[in-house]
Amino acid sequence: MFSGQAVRVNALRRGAEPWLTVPQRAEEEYVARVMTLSLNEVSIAQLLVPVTGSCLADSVGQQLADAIQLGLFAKGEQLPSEYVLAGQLGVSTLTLREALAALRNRGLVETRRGRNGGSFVCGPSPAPAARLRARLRELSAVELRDLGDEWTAIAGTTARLAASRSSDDQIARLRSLADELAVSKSISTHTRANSRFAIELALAAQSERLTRAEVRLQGESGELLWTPSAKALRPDEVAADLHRIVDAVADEDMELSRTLAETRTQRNLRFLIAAHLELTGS
Amino acid sequence: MTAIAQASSHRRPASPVSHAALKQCVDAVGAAADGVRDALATMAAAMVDAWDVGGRRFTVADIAALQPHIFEQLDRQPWFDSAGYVMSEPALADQPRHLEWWRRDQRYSYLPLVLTVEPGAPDCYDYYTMEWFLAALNEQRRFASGPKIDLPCADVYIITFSYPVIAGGEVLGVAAADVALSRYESQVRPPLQQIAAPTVLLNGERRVITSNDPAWTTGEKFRELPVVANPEWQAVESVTDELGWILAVGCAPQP
Repeated sequence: MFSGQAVRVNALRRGAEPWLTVPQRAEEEYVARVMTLSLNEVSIAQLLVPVTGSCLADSVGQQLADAIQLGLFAKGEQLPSEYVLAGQLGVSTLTLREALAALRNRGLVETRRGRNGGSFVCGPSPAPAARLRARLRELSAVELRDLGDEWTAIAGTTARLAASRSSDDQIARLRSLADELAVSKSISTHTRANSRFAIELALAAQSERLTRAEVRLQGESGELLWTPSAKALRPDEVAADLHRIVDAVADEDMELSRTLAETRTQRNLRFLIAAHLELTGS
Repeated sequence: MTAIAQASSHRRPASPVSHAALKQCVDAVGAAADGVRDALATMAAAMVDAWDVGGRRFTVADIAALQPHIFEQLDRQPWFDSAGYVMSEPALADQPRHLEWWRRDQRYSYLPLVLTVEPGAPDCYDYYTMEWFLAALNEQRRFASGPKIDLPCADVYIITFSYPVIAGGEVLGVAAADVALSRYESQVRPPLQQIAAPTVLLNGERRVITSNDPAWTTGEKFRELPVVANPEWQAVESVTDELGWILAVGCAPQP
């Protein structure tokens, strides 16, 4: 299991300016919350990767937008204060404000003034089929294969570790997300259930780095999996695979969990390339 | 799982491909490769023009004066990730070796690649051991190396194309380009997508350059070279002898 010490080390703010470090009490609260390592309770901003470079605001904004699109923030949820969020992301409040302005323009958050003011999540914007098709057409098969390679590595290791580290309540949550996917009816609900399953599995693996990697992959490409196509993935079939993975994780069968997760990811990749070929074929 | 293993399961009837359709595909892929060759030949011709036959060797400044010819091809060939001249030792006056290599850059348009090429230096980029250089130098022909990840240059997934620069029977060096597969794919794959059977373009080392079937992904290596004697394949054609590329048409849709 995760020791408090390990959590404390992992919880150090990467890349944050020292003067932005979260006060000691908040740090302790964070440690207490992260111990449960559930998606509902862990601070999502903590999973976002601190960034550097000239387009800092763009990069921060994109990460927050991805998190909102994935439904990691609930609709109506209030974002942490600018000061806290900037500290967690390791950027200045000025940069964060710029990023939030871009999110407001995209209709992903709204800012309310006054005593109970702040930034509130408006929920994911609909994922129009046309936008997904356009993105999948623009990507090259080479890029998709490389995405699949990384995804396979992360998904396989995540499932293997989850098989030796997950708790009963995490397994229950994984099952309910697979059930959610099986009956889901729209691109956004497919994306939400399937992506949250992957992220929940990474949390069950008790690895902050793997979780962060999975969040990034899902943010970049999670919804692409549900691009409408003649060969579209069937949510009930994917859900059946997810149930097989949970069964293996519950049985603490590390190798089977890894194989099943890798196979599922390969099928996803196969779909993405097939759909890309379909969209680029004449 | 390898491509061959995947191809052997779930047989389904073949959709026979006509000779005309196959020839059209081979010609179109060949034309995409020739487009790169022509661009490199243009660069090579500029260097030959600057060469004083029987006279003075090139200085580094002479070669730097040819930079506009590199930039011109970077502008014209969107799939060129980088390009330049790689010099043979006897052609140089003031340096043992020289590499004039530029890549495109969003901010500055072009950026030079600075590598240590001096033989014996610990971090030497020893281009005299690279197959794309040696083939152009010794066999005086074009060559393509890859797909590969080019770590010394920019860790981009590329094919290196090279073409000899020959003046008065002497090889001055090679004109070469690193072609980014993510962009070049749009040149070589569409002809394959015209064929109604699983089709793959392989390089000489049996590695997938591109295919029209999601079962065969770029970079993957076939265990055996496809041959028509094998019932898995209905046609196998050489695309460009010099490059060793092969187009193979499978019999059944991939599972």
